[in-house]
Amino acid sequence: MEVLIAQLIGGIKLGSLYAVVVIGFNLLILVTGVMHLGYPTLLVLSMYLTWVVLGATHNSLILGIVAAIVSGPLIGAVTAPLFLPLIKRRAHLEALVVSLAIGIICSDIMSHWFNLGLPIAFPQSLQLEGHSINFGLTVIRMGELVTLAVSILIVFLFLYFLNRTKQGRVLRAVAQDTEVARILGISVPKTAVFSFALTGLLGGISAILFAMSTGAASADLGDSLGMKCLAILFLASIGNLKGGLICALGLGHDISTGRLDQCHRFFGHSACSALQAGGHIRRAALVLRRSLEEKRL
Amino acid sequence: MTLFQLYFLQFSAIYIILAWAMYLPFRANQPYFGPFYSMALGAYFAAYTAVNWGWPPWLIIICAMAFCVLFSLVPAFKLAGLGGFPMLIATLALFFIVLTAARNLAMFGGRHGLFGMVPLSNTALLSATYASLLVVGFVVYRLDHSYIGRALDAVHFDKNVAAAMGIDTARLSVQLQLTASAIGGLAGVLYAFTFGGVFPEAFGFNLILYGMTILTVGGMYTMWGSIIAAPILWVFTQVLPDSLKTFGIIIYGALLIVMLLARPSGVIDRGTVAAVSRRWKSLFKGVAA
Repeated sequence: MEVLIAQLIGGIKLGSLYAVVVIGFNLLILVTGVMHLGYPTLLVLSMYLTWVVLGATHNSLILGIVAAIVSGPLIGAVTAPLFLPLIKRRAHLEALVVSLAIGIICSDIMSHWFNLGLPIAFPQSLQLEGHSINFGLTVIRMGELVTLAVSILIVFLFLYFLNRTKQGRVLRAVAQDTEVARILGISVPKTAVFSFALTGLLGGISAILFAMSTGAASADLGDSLGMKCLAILFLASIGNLKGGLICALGLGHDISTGRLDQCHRFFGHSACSALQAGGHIRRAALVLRRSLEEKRL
Repeated sequence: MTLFQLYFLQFSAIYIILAWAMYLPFRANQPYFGPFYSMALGAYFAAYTAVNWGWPPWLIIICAMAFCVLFSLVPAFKLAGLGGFPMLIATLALFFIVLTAARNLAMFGGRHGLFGMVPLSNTALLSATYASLLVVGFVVYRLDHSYIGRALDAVHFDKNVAAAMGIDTARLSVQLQLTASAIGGLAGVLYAFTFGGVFPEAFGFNLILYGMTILTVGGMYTMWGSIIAAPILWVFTQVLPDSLKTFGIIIYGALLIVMLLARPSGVIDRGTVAAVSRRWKSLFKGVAA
């Protein structure tokens, strides 16, 4: 029972985190038509920048959080001009290849220029170590609970922004029909840049939440994260925001049941690695199956 | 022959073969990443059969190509009916599956890879590679200048118009995928023989970047661009000073992005090929006169 509760909390936490990432993915697809395959890697780059700032400021949590939140939109705004000409000439496949290239470049930068290419570890203070809730044998860290609360809050704030504010309605109008939005006087390029920055902001917030939750990152984290996000996207159908949220929660629980720390305890290292690889393959197979059924794109 | 010269000759040829494998489906607007996982499959097939069963190279080449075709046959019929996005994502997912399996299966050496293939002499290696290059080049050239090439042009222009003209676009797509996979598998076998084994990092996402850069810089819509782009790009990263070698991937990525933004058809497009061909013919006529 205790393990089940811990897995449920872990599942919702991971799921809500993935939901924040998938919202960014979906937003870009809906507004700009770009499936930004490098987005998860940019998120990991934000994590690395946060790690650098934390190291330079003797683990100042506030500055670390600011670094993540600022770096996200900044990276989004810097990469946006690369996509705008392609969006303009509706070269969506070229845009996809560009996004893939951006992801690979960022991954390479992280694997060469940060921490000698080794995985990075965030200070325990960021994970609010020391504050925890015990459920018998299971320990739930305060960092995990904060991650859960903040990511749920972000999801609701985003939905409020999208449905109740003027700028949110502009985004929805462009997502619905670009031509009609243009006729109505909406600046589509500006909206596209705004959506890149907003996606970057969501990425920055996700970065700090991932850092709090997992406590570590590596250069190839973006690859597996990308495949998980694609699994959610295709499971919920591309561009479906609410479906994406539900599927993200489902996938979070799926991953949580195979979590490494619990897995190691029960099955040992080699079986655990196989289990993880099996999970990766299962999710990739899910992406494969769903994309084969995708007729709309 | 120095190791650098051998590697230059080998990798130039291997990357040209890989680029040709990608060129066929890309010419029909199909972003099919099958050649990448086929290359990995071919390489692992070669390493496994050579190390464990001692198969001769000619048998490995034939069986690896057949294996890649069979592997690609499973999703090919479904992929044939898809648009660009789902095809790219589906083949990317397949690539990820193959990569994860290769990294984690003990029979393939896991993360350390599988080594111990009996090395071929330089002459045998180069002969096999360049004979393969010539055969693949001939096949791609013939396909380009046949009914299939014209059908590819029609599909590239408009898939629906091509279908209305009586072209079986689904069948054509399956044929392209299988041919591309077989050629990709061949590139993988040659890669494995060059190194005397395989390791999973050789077939990571960087391979996609290399392949896409060669294809995009060389020219996506003619087979000739890759012949120039592959050796130049390979040499370019090798001759960089040691302090700049770590920038190799960044340079490749930047090149790919710049080309897609500035000149999506590549350095050598059909206009360039036609102009060179005209010039060549006029020169030939001048000499004959």
